Amino acid sequence: MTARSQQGSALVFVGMVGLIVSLMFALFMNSSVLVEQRAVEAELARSRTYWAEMGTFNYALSRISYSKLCGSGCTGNQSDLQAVPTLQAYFNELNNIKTFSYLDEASGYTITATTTGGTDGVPGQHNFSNYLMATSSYTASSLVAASAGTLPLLELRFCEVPSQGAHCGLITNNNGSNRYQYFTIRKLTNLPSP
Amino acid sequence: MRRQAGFTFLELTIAAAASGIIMLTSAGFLVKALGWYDELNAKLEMNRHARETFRLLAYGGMATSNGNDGTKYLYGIRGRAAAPSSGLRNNYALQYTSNNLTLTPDKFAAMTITCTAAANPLPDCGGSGSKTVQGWLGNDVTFQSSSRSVAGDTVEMTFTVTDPYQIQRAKSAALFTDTYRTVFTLNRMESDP
Repeated sequence: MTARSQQGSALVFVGMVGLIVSLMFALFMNSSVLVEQRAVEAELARSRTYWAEMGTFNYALSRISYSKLCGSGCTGNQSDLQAVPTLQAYFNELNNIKTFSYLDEASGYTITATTTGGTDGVPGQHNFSNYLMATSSYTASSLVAASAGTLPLLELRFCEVPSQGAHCGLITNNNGSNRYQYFTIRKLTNLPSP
Repeated sequence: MRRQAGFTFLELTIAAAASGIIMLTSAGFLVKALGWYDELNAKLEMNRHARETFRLLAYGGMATSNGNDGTKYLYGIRGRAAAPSSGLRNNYALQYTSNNLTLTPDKFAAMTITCTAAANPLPDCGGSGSKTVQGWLGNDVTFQSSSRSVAGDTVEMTFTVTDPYQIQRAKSAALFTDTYRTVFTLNRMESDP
């Protein structure tokens, strides 16, 4: 090969390599930074949602301590199922303050925490076991949902007990069929992502 | 003499110019990447301080001496009869008082931040002057116990976390400021100690 035929080949080679390296670097930066940014935004939204949901759980537990699960008075025996509407009513008392808006973030950035009460639902549960549960859910505005991915869902399982420090009876037993102001938290669980 | 092989001056000049452009572009990316890194790092740090704030205010803490009720406990908002007054910070550091005991658990050596405009760089800047900063709370912790409450037994708490290190040189202070909210139930039946 003569010197004449090599003219320009170095330039083409340097240019091509440089272009490829630049493109790869740009793509790497773009993807990694975007992924990181979304992860951090998600972490922020998760903290906000977690505390919004915990607020509803703690409110209902406080209401139980104060009023037991007696909606219109505790007259006679009440099954677990009959206590659920009262538990739900306690959660519903927060309806006016369950939406948290973050105007400083963006006008459309809102998180709404909603909690649903129920019986524990374990197979074999006695109708008067005093085992109840609550499951949180959230409604996030599209802005939050788009940037945050999956937010936490929490589940609280507890049983009412007759006195401070008492243990839960077996879930398959009749544990008194009365409504008590004391409770034991059995599980506070992060539910798997839907 | 045999003719020497190699590159012409023009070829080398163009190759050097092309390499220079590539290096400049890469340097631009690197500078931007450093900015992104700072931003993400600050967000993570702010999130950590937010969790610390939530924990202290929700669950309370423990001091080394005895308080009014003879125990070392500071009661969290959920263990109180009434929400504390808004504020809960000293030189931007979280400062919580309960049971006549005070904790300032999240504090660093003082630094001075110069205000450049209203709400800039710190959220409570009035326009000019300077602030002595020792913590991460950009604004007073506030408690809304009227419109955002159930029968006066709950309060909505709002606090703002700021990264004081980054916010001084940030183009947008909002990038380093995050707000958090939750609702606390006041469980104590007797008066606060």
